[in-house]
Amino acid sequence: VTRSSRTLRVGALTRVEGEGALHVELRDGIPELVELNIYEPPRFFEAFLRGRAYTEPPDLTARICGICPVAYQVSACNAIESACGATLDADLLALRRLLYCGEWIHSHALHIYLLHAPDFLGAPDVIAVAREHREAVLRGLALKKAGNRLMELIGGRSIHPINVRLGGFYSTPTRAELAPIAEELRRALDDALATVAWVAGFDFPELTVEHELLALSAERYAIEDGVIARSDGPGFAVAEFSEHVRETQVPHSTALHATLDGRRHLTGPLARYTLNYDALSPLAREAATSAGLGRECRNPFRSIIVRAVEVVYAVEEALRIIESYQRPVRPFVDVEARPGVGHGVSEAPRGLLYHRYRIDDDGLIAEADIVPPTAQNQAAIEDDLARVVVAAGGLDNAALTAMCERAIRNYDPCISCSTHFLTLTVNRR
Amino acid sequence: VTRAVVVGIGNPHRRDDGVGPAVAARVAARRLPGVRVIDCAAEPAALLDAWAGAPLAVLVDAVSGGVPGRVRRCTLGELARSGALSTHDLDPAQTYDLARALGCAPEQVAVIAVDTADTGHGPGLSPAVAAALGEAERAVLGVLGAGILGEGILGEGEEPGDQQP
Repeated sequence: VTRSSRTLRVGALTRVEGEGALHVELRDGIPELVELNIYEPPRFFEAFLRGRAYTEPPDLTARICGICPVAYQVSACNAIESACGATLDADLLALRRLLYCGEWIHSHALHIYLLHAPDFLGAPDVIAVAREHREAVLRGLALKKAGNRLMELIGGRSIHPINVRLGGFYSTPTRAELAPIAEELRRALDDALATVAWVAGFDFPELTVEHELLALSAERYAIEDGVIARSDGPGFAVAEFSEHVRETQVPHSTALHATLDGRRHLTGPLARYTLNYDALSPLAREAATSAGLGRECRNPFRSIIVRAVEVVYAVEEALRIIESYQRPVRPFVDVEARPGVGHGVSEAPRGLLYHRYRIDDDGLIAEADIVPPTAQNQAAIEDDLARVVVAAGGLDNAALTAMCERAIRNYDPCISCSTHFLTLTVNRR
Repeated sequence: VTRAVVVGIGNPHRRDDGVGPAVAARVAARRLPGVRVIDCAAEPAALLDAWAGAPLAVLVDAVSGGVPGRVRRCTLGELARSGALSTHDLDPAQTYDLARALGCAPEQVAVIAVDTADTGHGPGLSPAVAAALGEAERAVLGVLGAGILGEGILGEGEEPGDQQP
């Protein structure tokens, strides 16, 4: 058996959202080919949005993802409200942020406990984890449920919320209606802090990435809106996004690959944390410090700690919003159709999500452009894979393949929601 | 005290995939003492909550392929192999394994599976599956009767299919 040439293949990645595969070819320990293949069929959202009413993209694009529908709704609302020159009341923006906190809590808890933790515990899945770490998995499920409940309360239901509309909401909760969820969130805050302590005890492979970081930035830790910040220079206006972030087709993937000014970049928890450390709450910063994180984090394997810190922040932030909540005087502001172009961004759990729409004279969508975080991160994931196979080249094929899958799951890639089965083939030439 | 939970699994906006919730609605309309009836459209975690603390769980789920309208009682393991319609990452059998590992699984789980004809977009059941609602409901009541409630759930000469929710 010669080990000078190796091919690693994972036919269908597990514990990621959607359908993807991995293909790595090595010669003498040097990666010749590293491809994350996204073979999920194209979904043509941008095409079928054309000709729809300007009010429809929040509901239609929510369907892109069952895990992060609020991100799609909010980026769509931001873009269209901007095109139409609408400004939301401060209390409606706070409620939108509260809904988004629910999505962060639920999505991060899902990834930390059900998808990512098994990698650090040598377990194939969460069922095996639950046998050894019952209390931890129960805590994760309770945390996820708190996020789901918050989404149900504000959004009407937790998957594809129905209460979001341009300009705000169809109806808003009373202060009394929010009281029970506040109770649940106070317990969730303890669970969130315990989560940080739990994941901090995992072992992390060494990896430091140099990708440029891209994230929103705001006075408070950026979630539902913000200005664009980057690690290697001054940020740029949201309206200039597509001049800097360009998508290109690659033959091995049905998802577009995006670059930032021609170079690979990284969006998501590591970028948000590193660019916005000072905007975190004192408690979240304290949790990060006690978990061994500094002001920046460039090891993707440690993203599980960053997500846990972000859950602490999101729970605290939800409690803060609820404490000062007064029912808005009106559930939404009118958003009148106006021909023109609007750009909108928000921080989906997996990273910066950009929407652009052109509205025509009849109030119909003439053009739509959506750049999701996973498309932006594909080049970074492939670069990480190349580093991992070099660093861990001494492992046998099965162990090396498992390490590659871990490198992909670090990103919580959201290819879309669907079932998946693992078929693994390893070819040695 | 909850003695049994009936869970209708499926999405009523995907035609026959809604058979689980439709059967559950008929059972719910009977207001049986000690029986909790729940719809569980999507989320595995919701299923964990739904059956926690109940000695018996009866799941009603749609199965693709087969003979449209055929009603079968099967186990969770058989459901996993039979083309059960699951759009999320944990299927009911895996969810049960997780519940067992967590110590919150019902002692007994029965599955009533209904074969589907059409799982396209939109509400409403195909004629074959709609015609099987009574039989599926009777199957659920049969499990409940044998499991916890004793005989006599149905009145003398009553056909479960007669009662509309």
